[in-house]
Amino acid sequence: MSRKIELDYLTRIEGHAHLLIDHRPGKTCTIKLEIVETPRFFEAMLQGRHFQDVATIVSRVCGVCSISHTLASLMATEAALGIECPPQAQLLRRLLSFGEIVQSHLLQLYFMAVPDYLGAASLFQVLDSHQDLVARALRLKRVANRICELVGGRPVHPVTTCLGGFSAKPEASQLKRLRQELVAALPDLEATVELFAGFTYPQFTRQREALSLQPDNGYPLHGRTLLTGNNSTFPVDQYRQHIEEYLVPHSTAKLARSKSGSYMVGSQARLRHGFARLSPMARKVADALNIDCSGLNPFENLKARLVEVVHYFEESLHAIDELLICGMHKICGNTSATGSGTGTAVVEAPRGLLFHSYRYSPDGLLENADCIIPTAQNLACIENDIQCLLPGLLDQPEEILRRQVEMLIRSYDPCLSCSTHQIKIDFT
Amino acid sequence: MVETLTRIIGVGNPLMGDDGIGIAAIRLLENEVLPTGVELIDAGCGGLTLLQFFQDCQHAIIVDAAEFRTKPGTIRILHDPASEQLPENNRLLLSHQPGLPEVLAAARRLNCLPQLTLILVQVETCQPQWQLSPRVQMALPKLVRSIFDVIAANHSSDPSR
Repeated sequence: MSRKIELDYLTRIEGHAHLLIDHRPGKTCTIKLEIVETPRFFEAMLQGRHFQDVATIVSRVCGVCSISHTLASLMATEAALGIECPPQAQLLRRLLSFGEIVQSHLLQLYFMAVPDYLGAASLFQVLDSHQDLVARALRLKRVANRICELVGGRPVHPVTTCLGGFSAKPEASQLKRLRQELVAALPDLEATVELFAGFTYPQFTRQREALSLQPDNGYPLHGRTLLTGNNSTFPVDQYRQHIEEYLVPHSTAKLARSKSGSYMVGSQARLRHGFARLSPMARKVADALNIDCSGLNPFENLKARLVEVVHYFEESLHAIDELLICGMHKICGNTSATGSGTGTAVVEAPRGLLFHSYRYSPDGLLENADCIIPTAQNLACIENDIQCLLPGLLDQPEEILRRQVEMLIRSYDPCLSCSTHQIKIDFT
Repeated sequence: MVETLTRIIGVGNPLMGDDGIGIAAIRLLENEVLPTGVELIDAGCGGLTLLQFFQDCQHAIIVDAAEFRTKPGTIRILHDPASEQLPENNRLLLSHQPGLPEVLAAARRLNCLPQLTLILVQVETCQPQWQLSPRVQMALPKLVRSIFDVIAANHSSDPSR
């Protein structure tokens, strides 16, 4: 059974996902995960915009990943027009990304995933029964938001970011205070690790291809080279030669595949490729969580996410120290760009690789934009996971089957994560 | 450091036409002189991040787009609304985020909801476009006046001031 959704339909804002499982004994089980595309029609809205305006518009594509969209957009325009971003501004950008990833991961871990593992029917039940836990989550999330606020000018939709770097910088005294807040939050982080180390994760493994930025300058975050599952690399400008987007009749979302098929992006992909580049504290946490760094079990996305939270916490402390020691004397490069150009940038957003690729006309107007979001890349992987998971669940009561499938989908933190908490499953 | 007494929180997505009315209001207010202790927040597609903005303030004013089946641009003000008072299809519903009713319910459960005023504007269209529809655009000056009225009324009734 397939269901057609019109491309211009707006319930994507409402954020509902729909999964169809068509199982007929003796025949192949058909899995169709319907999620409505996120930024696709925004690409058309970007056409004709001046390069100075593009990132501001793009930052509104997503409320959780607005920083990643902004940075990918700025970097793509910089690549297209030959604008340099000085090293201290690059460090500030990394710090900004750390803040976004940590706050996004904490939101997913505490508010989306925890109810499953505490056996709660909903987030509200957790709010009622585990107020201390929720208070801890909010304290941690607040520190992460403080990073975004201090560096980006506000917690979401940054305003200090600009082509070439930043238009404003935090004061040293503010950075010192932020550092104190990060250190003060470490016991909460420790309690979080204890919480997630105590959960029982469903046992399920599947060989999945992984794609991430190459960990050449540290754990994958910002970069110009991609690393595939078979250890080959390619420059981000060549992404179209390696990644194909395709449409399926049952979803308005475009799916993505590499030459070897579906692939995963996000925490587990980064961890598989960048495990050796984790901070010392994150490595200890990985041990405490007994994590499988090859990332064969998608349910362990949660563990990978938590390891990353710890890593980015520690990296934030180092970044602040470096900024305080070296100063922030040059936070913006020369932005007097003219002329046409084509450029691509990729950042590791909380959920994985985010591609922005632009072509500008000689008068600086955007002629063509192409964006690939992490969830679009993970969708086929999720469907393939469900395909493998399902045979072991078909003789289970519907409630158990439903819960496991929902937990699997949620483990990827798809862009419609809140909606998938209420995912509707049709059995045909 | 000045204590934040009132936080005006604009919510919405300017890429979605009238859904961005709350953000447009914040843009206008940024050019106005505000009373001491009043803070502006562009929360965008805030979702659960809104919980953070409810902390450390006495009065939160949320400015948002809404659907209550009346003339586009109509403004409604709700003081400490019960969940059933919230309009259907409230437009504080953004990609991968819970909606306004859920966020307010969560804040109530966590006892972190300050005094709350919702200032809602009836939308005409929430299609992908980077501007408000004419009738909602025309409501902006009145919306800003309404926000100032709410601030003034609240401050005059605050015995601590």
